[in-house]
Amino acid sequence: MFDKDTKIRPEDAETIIGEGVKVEGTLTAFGNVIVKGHVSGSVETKNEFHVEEGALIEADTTAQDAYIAGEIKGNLKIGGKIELAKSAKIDGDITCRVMSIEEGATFNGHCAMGNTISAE
Amino acid sequence: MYLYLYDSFLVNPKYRKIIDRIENRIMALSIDGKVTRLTIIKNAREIVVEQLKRGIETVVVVGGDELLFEAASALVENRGVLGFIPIESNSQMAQILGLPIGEAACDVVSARRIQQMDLGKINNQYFLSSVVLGSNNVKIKCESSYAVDPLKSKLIKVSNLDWINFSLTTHKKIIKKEISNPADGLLELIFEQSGGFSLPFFKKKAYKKDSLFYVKNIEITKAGEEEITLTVDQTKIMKTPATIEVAPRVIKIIVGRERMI
Repeated sequence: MFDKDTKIRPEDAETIIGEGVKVEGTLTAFGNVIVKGHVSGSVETKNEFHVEEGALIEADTTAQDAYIAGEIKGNLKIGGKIELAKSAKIDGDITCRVMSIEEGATFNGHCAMGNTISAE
Repeated sequence: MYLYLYDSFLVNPKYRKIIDRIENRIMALSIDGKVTRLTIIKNAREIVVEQLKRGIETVVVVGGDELLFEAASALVENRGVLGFIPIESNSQMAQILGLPIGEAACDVVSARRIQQMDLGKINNQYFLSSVVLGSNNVKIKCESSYAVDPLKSKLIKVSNLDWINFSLTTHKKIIKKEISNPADGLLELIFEQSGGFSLPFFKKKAYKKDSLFYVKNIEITKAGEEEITLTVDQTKIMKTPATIEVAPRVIKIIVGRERMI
Protein backbone atom coordinates (compact mmCIF):
# COMPACT_ATOMS: atom_id res chain seq x y z
CA MET A 1 0.00 0.00 0.00
CA PHE A 2 1.46 3.38 -0.98
CA ASP A 3 0.49 6.81 0.18
CA LYS A 4 -0.79 9.07 -2.56
CA ASP A 5 1.61 11.59 -4.03
CA THR A 6 1.01 15.01 -2.60
CA LYS A 7 1.82 18.31 -4.27
CA ILE A 8 4.02 20.62 -2.21
CA ARG A 9 1.94 23.42 -0.72
CA PRO A 10 3.63 26.86 -0.57
CA GLU A 11 3.35 26.92 3.22
CA ASP A 12 5.14 23.57 3.42
CA ALA A 13 8.31 24.87 1.80
CA GLU A 14 8.64 28.35 3.23
CA THR A 15 12.09 29.83 2.82
CA ILE A 16 13.00 31.75 5.96
CA ILE A 17 16.02 34.03 5.77
CA GLY A 18 16.93 35.03 9.30
CA GLU A 19 19.17 37.72 10.73
CA GLY A 20 22.07 35.28 11.06
CA VAL A 21 22.71 34.74 7.34
CA LYS A 22 23.22 36.75 4.16
CA VAL A 23 21.97 35.53 0.78
CA GLU A 24 23.61 36.59 -2.47
CA GLY A 25 22.59 35.55 -5.98
CA THR A 26 19.45 34.39 -7.74
CA LEU A 27 17.05 32.86 -5.23
CA THR A 28 14.16 30.97 -6.83
CA ALA A 29 12.00 29.63 -4.02
CA PHE A 30 9.49 26.76 -4.07
CA GLY A 31 7.10 28.34 -1.58
CA ASN A 32 6.64 31.56 0.37
CA VAL A 33 9.73 33.64 1.18
CA ILE A 34 10.08 35.35 4.56
CA VAL A 35 13.05 37.65 5.07
CA LYS A 36 14.35 38.98 8.38
CA GLY A 37 17.97 39.28 7.23
CA HIS A 38 19.89 40.50 4.18
CA VAL A 39 19.38 39.46 0.55
CA SER A 40 21.15 40.78 -2.53
CA GLY A 41 20.72 39.72 -6.16
CA SER A 42 17.23 38.66 -7.22
CA VAL A 43 14.30 36.82 -5.63
CA GLU A 44 11.57 34.89 -7.41
CA THR A 45 8.60 33.03 -6.01
CA LYS A 46 5.16 32.18 -7.34
CA ASN A 47 3.86 32.67 -3.81
CA GLU A 48 4.10 35.24 -1.01
CA PHE A 49 7.08 37.46 -0.25
CA HIS A 50 7.31 38.85 3.29
CA VAL A 51 9.96 41.32 4.34
CA GLU A 52 9.98 41.82 8.08
CA GLU A 53 11.04 45.00 9.87
CA GLY A 54 14.84 45.29 10.00
CA ALA A 55 15.40 43.23 6.85
CA LEU A 56 17.36 44.61 3.88
CA ILE A 57 16.67 43.54 0.30
CA GLU A 58 19.03 44.75 -2.42
CA ALA A 59 17.35 42.79 -5.16
CA ASP A 60 14.73 42.78 -7.88
CA THR A 61 11.80 40.64 -6.76
CA THR A 62 9.02 38.77 -8.53
CA ALA A 63 6.23 37.30 -6.38
CA GLN A 64 2.48 36.75 -6.31
CA ASP A 65 1.75 38.82 -3.17
CA ALA A 66 4.01 40.86 -0.91
CA TYR A 67 4.07 42.35 2.59
CA ILE A 68 6.91 44.81 3.15
CA ALA A 69 7.94 46.13 6.56
CA GLY A 70 11.68 46.32 5.87
CA GLU A 71 13.93 48.14 3.41
CA ILE A 72 14.03 47.37 -0.31
CA LYS A 73 16.47 48.70 -2.89
CA GLY A 74 15.24 47.22 -6.15
CA ASN A 75 12.16 46.70 -8.27
CA LEU A 76 9.12 44.69 -7.20
CA LYS A 77 6.94 42.86 -9.72
CA ILE A 78 3.92 41.60 -7.80
CA GLY A 79 1.15 39.62 -9.50
CA GLY A 80 -1.50 40.38 -6.89
CA LYS A 81 -1.45 42.58 -3.79
CA ILE A 82 1.40 44.45 -2.12
CA GLU A 83 1.10 45.84 1.40
CA LEU A 84 3.56 48.43 2.67
CA ALA A 85 3.69 48.65 6.46
CA LYS A 86 4.59 51.88 8.26
CA SER A 87 8.22 50.79 8.63
CA ALA A 88 8.60 49.98 4.89
CA LYS A 89 11.22 51.86 2.92
CA ILE A 90 11.31 51.27 -0.82
CA ASP A 91 13.71 52.69 -3.40
CA GLY A 92 12.55 51.13 -6.66
CA ASP A 93 9.62 50.62 -8.98
CA ILE A 94 6.53 48.61 -8.13
CA THR A 95 4.27 46.76 -10.53
CA CYS A 96 1.17 45.25 -8.92
CA ARG A 97 -2.59 44.81 -9.17
CA VAL A 98 -3.59 46.06 -5.70
CA MET A 99 -1.58 48.19 -3.28
CA SER A 100 -2.05 49.32 0.29
CA ILE A 101 0.27 51.78 2.01
CA GLU A 102 0.24 52.38 5.74
CA GLU A 103 0.93 55.90 6.98
CA GLY A 104 4.66 56.33 7.57
CA ALA A 105 5.87 54.05 4.76
CA THR A 106 8.46 55.52 2.36
CA PHE A 107 8.25 54.83 -1.36
CA ASN A 108 10.52 56.44 -3.94
CA GLY A 109 9.91 55.07 -7.43
CA HIS A 110 7.35 54.51 -10.14
CA CYS A 111 4.23 52.45 -9.68
CA ALA A 112 2.21 50.65 -12.37
CA MET A 113 -1.09 49.17 -11.21
CA GLY A 114 -4.29 47.59 -12.32
CA ASN A 115 -3.21 45.08 -14.93
CA THR A 116 -3.18 41.39 -14.21
CA ILE A 117 0.48 40.50 -13.91
CA SER A 118 1.64 36.94 -13.55
CA ALA A 119 4.35 36.23 -10.99
CA GLU A 120 5.75 33.51 -13.24
CA MET B 1 10.92 -12.97 2.00
CA TYR B 2 12.09 -11.19 5.14
CA LEU B 3 15.59 -10.59 6.42
CA TYR B 4 15.87 -9.61 10.09
CA LEU B 5 19.06 -7.71 10.80
CA TYR B 6 19.87 -7.80 14.54
CA ASP B 7 21.96 -4.93 15.86
CA SER B 8 25.33 -5.83 17.41
CA PHE B 9 24.35 -4.46 20.84
CA LEU B 10 21.64 -7.13 21.11
CA VAL B 11 24.25 -9.75 22.08
CA ASN B 12 24.02 -8.28 25.58
CA PRO B 13 21.98 -10.77 27.67
CA LYS B 14 19.77 -7.96 28.99
CA TYR B 15 18.01 -7.93 25.59
CA ARG B 16 17.28 -11.71 25.61
CA LYS B 17 13.70 -11.34 26.87
CA ILE B 18 12.71 -8.61 24.43
CA ILE B 19 14.22 -10.58 21.53
CA ASP B 20 12.24 -13.67 22.59
CA ARG B 21 9.04 -11.65 22.63
CA ILE B 22 9.80 -10.18 19.20
CA GLU B 23 10.56 -13.60 17.73
CA ASN B 24 7.34 -15.04 19.15
CA ARG B 25 5.32 -12.18 17.69
CA ILE B 26 7.02 -12.56 14.29
CA MET B 27 6.09 -16.26 14.26
CA ALA B 28 2.51 -15.51 15.32
CA LEU B 29 2.13 -13.01 12.48
CA SER B 30 3.72 -15.42 9.96
CA ILE B 31 6.31 -12.87 8.89
CA ASP B 32 9.33 -14.93 9.89
CA GLY B 33 12.44 -15.02 7.72
CA LYS B 34 16.19 -15.17 7.73
CA VAL B 35 17.97 -13.76 10.80
CA THR B 36 21.43 -12.21 10.67
CA ARG B 37 23.08 -11.13 13.91
CA LEU B 38 25.55 -8.35 13.30
CA THR B 39 28.93 -8.30 14.98
CA ILE B 40 31.60 -5.64 14.79
CA ILE B 41 33.27 -7.53 11.94
CA LYS B 42 30.11 -7.96 9.83
CA ASN B 43 29.24 -5.05 7.56
CA ALA B 44 25.49 -4.41 7.48
CA ARG B 45 25.58 -2.77 4.09
CA GLU B 46 27.37 -5.71 2.45
CA ILE B 47 24.95 -8.17 4.05
CA VAL B 48 21.90 -6.26 2.81
CA VAL B 49 23.24 -5.95 -0.73
CA GLU B 50 24.11 -9.67 -0.79
CA GLN B 51 20.72 -10.78 0.58
CA LEU B 52 18.81 -8.59 -1.89
CA LYS B 53 20.64 -10.40 -4.68
CA ARG B 54 19.44 -13.69 -3.16
CA GLY B 55 15.80 -12.67 -3.34
CA ILE B 56 15.14 -10.96 0.00
CA GLU B 57 12.35 -8.41 -0.49
CA THR B 58 11.99 -6.88 2.97
CA VAL B 59 14.86 -6.00 5.31
CA VAL B 60 13.81 -5.42 8.92
CA VAL B 61 16.29 -3.74 11.21
CA VAL B 62 15.98 -4.88 14.82
CA GLY B 63 17.94 -2.46 16.98
CA GLY B 64 18.90 1.21 16.83
CA ASP B 65 18.72 4.21 14.51
CA GLU B 66 22.33 3.90 13.35
CA LEU B 67 21.76 0.46 11.87
CA LEU B 68 18.56 1.72 10.22
CA PHE B 69 20.58 4.47 8.51
CA GLU B 70 23.16 1.96 7.31
CA ALA B 71 20.55 -0.44 5.94
CA ALA B 72 18.70 2.40 4.21
CA SER B 73 21.78 3.38 2.22
CA ALA B 74 21.99 -0.20 0.91
CA LEU B 75 18.32 -0.34 -0.09
CA VAL B 76 18.35 2.51 -2.57
CA GLU B 77 16.65 2.50 -5.95
CA ASN B 78 13.63 0.59 -4.55
CA ARG B 79 15.37 -2.76 -4.47
CA GLY B 80 13.49 -3.78 -1.35
CA VAL B 81 11.37 -2.56 1.52
CA LEU B 82 12.86 -1.40 4.82
CA GLY B 83 11.19 -2.16 8.15
CA PHE B 84 12.28 -1.24 11.65
CA ILE B 85 11.72 -2.81 15.05
CA PRO B 86 13.21 -0.31 17.48
CA ILE B 87 14.53 -1.67 20.75
CA GLU B 88 15.31 1.39 22.82
CA SER B 89 12.87 4.07 23.83
CA ASN B 90 15.22 6.92 22.85
CA SER B 91 14.99 6.03 19.15
CA GLN B 92 14.36 9.26 17.22
CA MET B 93 13.42 7.39 14.06
CA ALA B 94 10.84 5.26 15.91
CA GLN B 95 9.04 8.42 16.96
CA ILE B 96 9.19 10.02 13.51
CA LEU B 97 8.12 6.85 11.68
CA GLY B 98 5.37 6.15 14.21
CA LEU B 99 6.72 2.84 15.46
CA PRO B 100 6.17 1.41 18.92
CA ILE B 101 9.19 0.01 20.76
CA GLY B 102 9.82 -3.76 20.86
CA GLU B 103 7.41 -6.51 19.84
CA ALA B 104 4.50 -4.14 19.13
CA ALA B 105 6.48 -2.91 16.09
CA CYS B 106 6.11 -6.41 14.55
CA ASP B 107 2.44 -5.64 13.94
CA VAL B 108 3.44 -2.48 12.03
CA VAL B 109 5.88 -4.50 9.92
CA SER B 110 3.12 -7.02 9.23
CA ALA B 111 0.64 -4.27 8.24
CA ARG B 112 3.09 -3.11 5.54
CA ARG B 113 2.02 0.52 5.34
CA ILE B 114 4.73 1.54 2.90
CA GLN B 115 5.86 5.10 2.21
CA GLN B 116 8.20 6.00 -0.59
CA MET B 117 10.84 8.46 0.59
CA ASP B 118 13.78 10.54 -0.58
CA LEU B 119 17.34 9.99 0.52
CA GLY B 120 20.10 12.55 0.68
CA LYS B 121 23.33 12.00 -1.16
CA ILE B 122 26.65 13.44 -0.01
CA ASN B 123 29.60 13.01 -2.36
CA ASN B 124 27.70 10.07 -3.89
CA GLN B 125 27.02 8.33 -0.56
CA TYR B 126 23.40 8.03 0.49
CA PHE B 127 22.05 9.18 3.86
CA LEU B 128 18.59 8.88 5.37
CA SER B 129 18.54 11.43 8.17
CA SER B 130 20.85 14.45 8.11
CA VAL B 131 24.27 16.04 7.71
CA VAL B 132 25.48 18.38 10.44
CA LEU B 133 28.42 20.77 10.61
CA GLY B 134 29.35 22.85 13.62
CA SER B 135 31.24 25.66 11.93
CA ASN B 136 30.42 28.85 10.06
CA ASN B 137 33.83 28.87 8.38
CA VAL B 138 32.35 27.52 5.16
CA LYS B 139 31.02 28.71 1.83
CA ILE B 140 27.58 27.41 0.93
CA LYS B 141 26.14 27.53 -2.56
CA CYS B 142 22.60 26.35 -3.27
CA GLU B 143 21.15 25.24 -6.61
CA SER B 144 24.32 26.63 -8.27
CA SER B 145 22.57 30.02 -8.21
CA TYR B 146 22.82 31.64 -4.80
CA ALA B 147 25.22 31.67 -1.87
CA VAL B 148 24.27 31.70 1.79
CA ASP B 149 26.87 33.32 4.04
CA PRO B 150 26.42 31.68 7.48
CA LEU B 151 27.68 34.86 9.29
CA LYS B 152 26.97 34.13 12.99
CA SER B 153 25.61 30.59 12.56
CA LYS B 154 26.98 27.99 14.97
CA LEU B 155 25.32 24.92 13.56
CA ILE B 156 24.31 24.07 10.01
CA LYS B 157 22.12 21.08 9.26
CA VAL B 158 20.97 19.50 6.02
CA SER B 159 17.97 17.36 6.81
CA ASN B 160 16.09 14.71 4.87
CA LEU B 161 14.32 12.86 7.69
CA ASP B 162 14.97 14.42 11.07
CA TRP B 163 13.68 16.85 13.67
CA ILE B 164 14.01 20.46 12.62
CA ASN B 165 11.91 22.11 15.37
CA PHE B 166 11.69 25.44 13.60
CA SER B 167 9.33 28.13 14.79
CA LEU B 168 9.00 31.74 13.73
CA THR B 169 6.50 34.45 14.51
CA THR B 170 5.81 36.92 11.72
CA HIS B 171 3.36 39.83 11.71
CA LYS B 172 0.64 37.55 10.32
CA LYS B 173 1.21 34.06 11.64
CA ILE B 174 3.28 31.61 13.62
CA ILE B 175 5.23 29.14 11.52
CA LYS B 176 6.08 25.80 13.12
CA LYS B 177 7.86 22.93 11.48
CA GLU B 178 8.80 19.90 13.57
CA ILE B 179 10.03 17.32 11.09
CA SER B 180 11.61 17.60 7.68
CA ASN B 181 9.51 16.22 4.86
CA PRO B 182 11.25 13.16 3.34
CA ALA B 183 8.92 12.87 0.36
CA ASP B 184 8.96 16.35 -1.18
CA GLY B 185 12.03 15.97 -3.38
CA LEU B 186 13.77 18.67 -1.32
CA LEU B 187 16.26 18.88 1.53
CA GLU B 188 15.88 21.30 4.44
CA LEU B 189 18.93 23.49 5.05
CA ILE B 190 18.83 24.94 8.57
CA PHE B 191 21.05 27.56 10.18
CA GLU B 192 21.20 27.87 13.95
CA GLN B 193 22.73 30.54 16.15
CA SER B 194 23.74 30.33 19.77
CA GLY B 195 21.34 31.82 22.25
CA GLY B 196 18.48 29.37 22.41
CA PHE B 197 16.76 28.40 25.63
CA SER B 198 18.54 25.88 27.85
CA LEU B 199 18.16 24.82 31.44
CA PRO B 200 21.28 25.29 33.57
CA PHE B 201 21.67 21.59 34.39
CA PHE B 202 21.82 20.64 30.70
CA LYS B 203 25.40 20.99 29.57
CA LYS B 204 24.43 20.75 25.92
CA LYS B 205 24.67 24.09 24.11
CA ALA B 206 21.38 25.68 23.16
CA TYR B 207 20.85 27.02 19.66
CA LYS B 208 18.23 29.25 18.17
CA LYS B 209 16.91 28.32 14.71
CA ASP B 210 17.54 31.24 12.39
CA SER B 211 17.06 30.33 8.74
CA LEU B 212 15.46 27.60 6.68
CA PHE B 213 15.89 26.86 2.98
CA TYR B 214 14.39 24.13 0.79
CA VAL B 215 16.94 22.97 -1.74
CA LYS B 216 17.82 20.19 -4.14
CA ASN B 217 21.54 20.79 -4.34
CA ILE B 218 24.11 22.26 -1.94
CA GLU B 219 27.85 22.71 -2.32
CA ILE B 220 29.87 23.21 0.88
CA THR B 221 33.49 24.27 0.76
CA LYS B 222 35.91 25.55 3.39
CA ALA B 223 36.21 29.32 3.80
CA GLY B 224 39.51 29.20 5.69
CA GLU B 225 42.63 27.06 5.67
CA GLU B 226 41.25 23.95 7.33
CA GLU B 227 38.76 21.48 5.91
CA ILE B 228 35.55 21.31 7.96
CA THR B 229 34.12 18.12 9.46
CA LEU B 230 30.59 16.99 8.57
CA THR B 231 28.70 14.34 10.55
CA VAL B 232 26.50 12.19 8.33
CA ASP B 233 23.55 10.27 9.86
CA GLN B 234 24.91 10.93 13.36
CA THR B 235 27.90 8.63 12.92
CA LYS B 236 29.90 8.90 9.71
CA ILE B 237 32.48 11.64 9.50
CA MET B 238 33.32 13.38 6.23
CA LYS B 239 35.29 16.48 5.31
CA THR B 240 34.67 19.40 2.99
CA PRO B 241 34.37 19.85 0.05
CA ALA B 242 30.95 18.25 -0.08
CA THR B 243 28.19 18.18 -2.66
CA ILE B 244 24.84 17.30 -1.16
CA GLU B 245 21.79 16.54 -3.25
CA VAL B 246 18.42 14.89 -2.91
CA ALA B 247 17.66 11.51 -4.45
CA PRO B 248 13.86 11.68 -4.79
CA ARG B 249 11.73 8.69 -3.79
CA VAL B 250 14.42 6.05 -3.98
CA ILE B 251 13.51 4.02 -0.89
CA LYS B 252 10.41 2.31 0.50
CA ILE B 253 10.00 2.32 4.28
CA ILE B 254 7.31 0.70 6.43
CA VAL B 255 5.69 3.34 8.66
CA GLY B 256 3.22 3.26 11.52
CA ARG B 257 -0.19 4.85 11.80
CA GLU B 258 1.17 7.37 14.34
CA ARG B 259 3.95 8.63 12.07
CA MET B 260 4.93 12.30 12.17
CA ILE B 261 5.58 12.60 8.45
